[in-house]
Amino acid sequence: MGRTLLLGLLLALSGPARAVPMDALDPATRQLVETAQAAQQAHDWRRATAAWKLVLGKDPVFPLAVVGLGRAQEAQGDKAGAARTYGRLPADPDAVEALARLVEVEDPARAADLYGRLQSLRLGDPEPHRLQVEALTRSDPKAALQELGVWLALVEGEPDGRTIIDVALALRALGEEESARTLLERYLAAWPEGTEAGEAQGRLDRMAVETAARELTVGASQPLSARQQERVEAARRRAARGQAEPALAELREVVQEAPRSADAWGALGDVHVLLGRIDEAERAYAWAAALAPEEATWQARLGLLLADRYGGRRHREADELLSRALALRPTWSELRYRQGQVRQGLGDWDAAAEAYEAYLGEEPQGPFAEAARQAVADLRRTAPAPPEIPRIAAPDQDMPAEALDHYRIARVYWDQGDMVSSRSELDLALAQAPAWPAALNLLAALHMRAGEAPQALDAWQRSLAADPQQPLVKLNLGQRLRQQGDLPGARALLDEAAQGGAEDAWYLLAEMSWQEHHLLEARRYLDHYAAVSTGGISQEPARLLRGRVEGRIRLVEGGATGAVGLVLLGGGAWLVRRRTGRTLADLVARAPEVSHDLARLLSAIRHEVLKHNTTLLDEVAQALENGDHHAVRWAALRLFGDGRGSEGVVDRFESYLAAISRLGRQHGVRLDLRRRDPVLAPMWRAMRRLRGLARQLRHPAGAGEGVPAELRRISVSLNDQGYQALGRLVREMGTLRLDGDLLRAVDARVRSEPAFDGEELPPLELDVPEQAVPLKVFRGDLEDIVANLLRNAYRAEVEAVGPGLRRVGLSVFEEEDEITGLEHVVLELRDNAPGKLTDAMIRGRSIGRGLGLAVDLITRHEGSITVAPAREGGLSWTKAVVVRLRRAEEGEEP
Amino acid sequence: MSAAEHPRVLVVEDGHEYITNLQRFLGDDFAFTRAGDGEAALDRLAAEPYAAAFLDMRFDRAERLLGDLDELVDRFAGDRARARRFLEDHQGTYILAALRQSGHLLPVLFSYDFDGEPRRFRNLATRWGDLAYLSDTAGPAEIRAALLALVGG
Repeated sequence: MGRTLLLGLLLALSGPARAVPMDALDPATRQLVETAQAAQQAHDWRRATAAWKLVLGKDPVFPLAVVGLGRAQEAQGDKAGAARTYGRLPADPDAVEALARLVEVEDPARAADLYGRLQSLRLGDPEPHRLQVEALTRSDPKAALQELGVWLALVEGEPDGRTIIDVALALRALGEEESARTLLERYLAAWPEGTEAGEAQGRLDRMAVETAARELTVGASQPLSARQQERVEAARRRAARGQAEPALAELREVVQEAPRSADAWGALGDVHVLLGRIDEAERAYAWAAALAPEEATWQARLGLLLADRYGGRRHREADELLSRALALRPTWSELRYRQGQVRQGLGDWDAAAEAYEAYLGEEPQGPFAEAARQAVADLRRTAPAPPEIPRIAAPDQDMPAEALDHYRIARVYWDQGDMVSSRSELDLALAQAPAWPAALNLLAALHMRAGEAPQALDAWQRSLAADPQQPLVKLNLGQRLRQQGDLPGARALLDEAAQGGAEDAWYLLAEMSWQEHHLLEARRYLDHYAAVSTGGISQEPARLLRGRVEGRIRLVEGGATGAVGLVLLGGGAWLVRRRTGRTLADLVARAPEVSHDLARLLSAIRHEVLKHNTTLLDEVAQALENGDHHAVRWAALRLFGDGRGSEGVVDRFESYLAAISRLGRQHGVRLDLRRRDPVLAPMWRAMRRLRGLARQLRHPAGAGEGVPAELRRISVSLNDQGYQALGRLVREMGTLRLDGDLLRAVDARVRSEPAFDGEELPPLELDVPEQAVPLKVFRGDLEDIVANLLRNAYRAEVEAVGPGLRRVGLSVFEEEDEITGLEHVVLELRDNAPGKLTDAMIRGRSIGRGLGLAVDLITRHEGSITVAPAREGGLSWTKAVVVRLRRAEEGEEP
Repeated sequence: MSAAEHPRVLVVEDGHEYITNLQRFLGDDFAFTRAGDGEAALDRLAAEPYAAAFLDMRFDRAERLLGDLDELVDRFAGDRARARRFLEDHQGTYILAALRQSGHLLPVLFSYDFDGEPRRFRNLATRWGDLAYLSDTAGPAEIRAALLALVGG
């Protein structure tokens, strides 16, 4: 709530909107403006330049045209021309800002001056101050620090943490370490859960480690003795065999003995990674890197850890570390490829392409060569020239001219991205010509853009009824039916489309046959496609599909007998099906161990992308309607970045999707989050629609009338439906029903372990409610907790209590905290071994590794574990280990 | 309604965000007063009557916290930092308990979204009565309506 009110306050404080000059233009000039805007929309910069120049010929200081021409010149690489153009209006805030952004990389001091001028043109607006801080960061960090204070005094709500971090880094590079540290600490104190708090804390921690390392180290990292080296190697081997906990204990001892050994710290970090303790691993690698700054290995390990395990949030730091590693070891080609991936995640496309190209320069046939080439091709690909819009065929004699006019206007609005106006015009056209296929096809496209698939299908079907000879419409309709699961209907339409000349339909039929395991049929369709295809987006997928089909056919044909081949075919298909999970539910079902990381990423989307950002969409819509363009531009910056590498919310969402896909691949599951997942696919579509509005929001003066309504619709998709759906999914993932069967199964597993071979273990005295209790914990974690507690109890019994006298009991009950209202499920494990376990031991971790793991898991789930005197039968029980875990809420229960 | 007749609402928060925005957007309908922690809230209520309380949940900036820290330290096996964090994160409920135990039965509106914790909210409402809460997406209109419903407007 607070955030919503704060944004409203910001809007209320904003100055009045600039008068929109469009109304004052004569019709001819207005037409030129519309032409220029349409050309911009289509990235036809030469046409846009020509149109803007014509406008300026009539009015040399028309602000919209000045800024438009400057942008078109920039897009064509004419920076000098753009600078002269912007310079025409030294008192127009948009022109001043555009000029400042143009020069800020090459001449940050001049950019800082321009931002200073912008402050007086946009009084009270904190953004020019922030931009000035950023420019000064490059030219005069101390001045940036001073200006930072002015900016922060103006900002309402959470400031842009990246700006603060950049100033801190610049100060540190200048040798002002204390100032840098103080700045980061103040940011974290004021915004402990700020968007960049993770990175700020990470940098602060590393600064502390590097400082401590400098104090600790005299000269280079301390070499290990031969014996210590053996112990480290032995620990690595043990960890590789799955004995990570003992390996960890061993390495901790070595680090205690040799705290200045980068190798010991590095090995410690590796084992922490195996155990999934990422924060511990980061600390260990940071120590290793600080102790041996000349060694590329630790810089790279740390950089890759930040890249792989933080969902993209720490890519900036990761990139810096990888650059350092490559500076130390330039021939480390694999690292260049990884750096390319990191930079792509950052949205720094040019730098990513350079990294990939550097990799290819060294390893043209390397393991990542194909992927790198594809990435470079995608990154360097330029937008195609806008297609010629074909003249509309001469309408039937009976077609009312007015319908044709309305249709033409609808097409123009469509080109400009104004879907609402396009629809209005189209409705008027269809009112007069309800069976006109061209109009119905445009109607279907509008419905698809709005996410109204059923209405789109209806429009296409009406179009086909009026004119059955439309292979492309059949192709579209067939694809939609396939998505809806109507495979027979889809197949029939795609077949007609293919016969009618829509070449991509052959490819889609091949894909359907492949998925239904009809290999020979798939091959035939691919042959047809190859015979008629002249290019297009299906070429590459068809080539890849061909590889898979032929490979599978060879496998079948190479089988010992036809029967064996059929079995292989079936088995192989099952294997493919088993390993191809499309949804998050599939991933969790196939790889439950992924739940922690997945829940973290989904929660991050919910909080960082939705709750703290897209909730402002309604306010943006309101600001547009009120003509408050400054607020809209501010929001556009937040949503889409500045177009020069700084990431917006929409990009961050894509980064999270990429991180989730990688998580799936790491567990052998290929996800299709954008099309198939019932939670993320609708959100992705909504984000795509939002991205489609970027241009209009960046330049709100030219925004269409339908934009506010579209923003509100997107807001509903994201902030109501998406937010709730994500919350439900995260809650469902982390709950299970605890009952006696589960506990007995865990007990049976522990009893069958080799350590208890031949031992007389007492029967487990189980006291659980009749109804299963819903718990807020991942199944695997609960089983580990219970198993480790049982193991501990049985071991204590075997060591200290005679056979026949041993007792172990486990009770489960529910408890409500009288003050907080929180409900817990209590697992109380009792035994009668002489009490060796205390709270102090748990606190100080003077416990075995198994119990230590249980404690970690309990803490991770916000539970608690204590040792208490047993509740009942004082003489027979000596102690109770009491574990409290959160009870699942209504709606969370599995 | 004159300013003097506006229902008086005690805003209990460890910062000034809520009081600032409530006064700006709803200042024509209510008279807001701030208390920075539970002790200050009890003092205010002892001194003068209020129609309702607007209560934050998390108090990580407050120096004084209500609740038995030592008992929580025991619960968390001696982890004092974790015990304090627990008190901070759920401080609103401790303040609510203190208000009720001191005999202050005024209706309370939580700024915390219990949509994901319906059982918890029911437990609190059953024990302490006359409670309501705001969802995360509540705007000024919803807050106004919630407060009016509580004060009987």
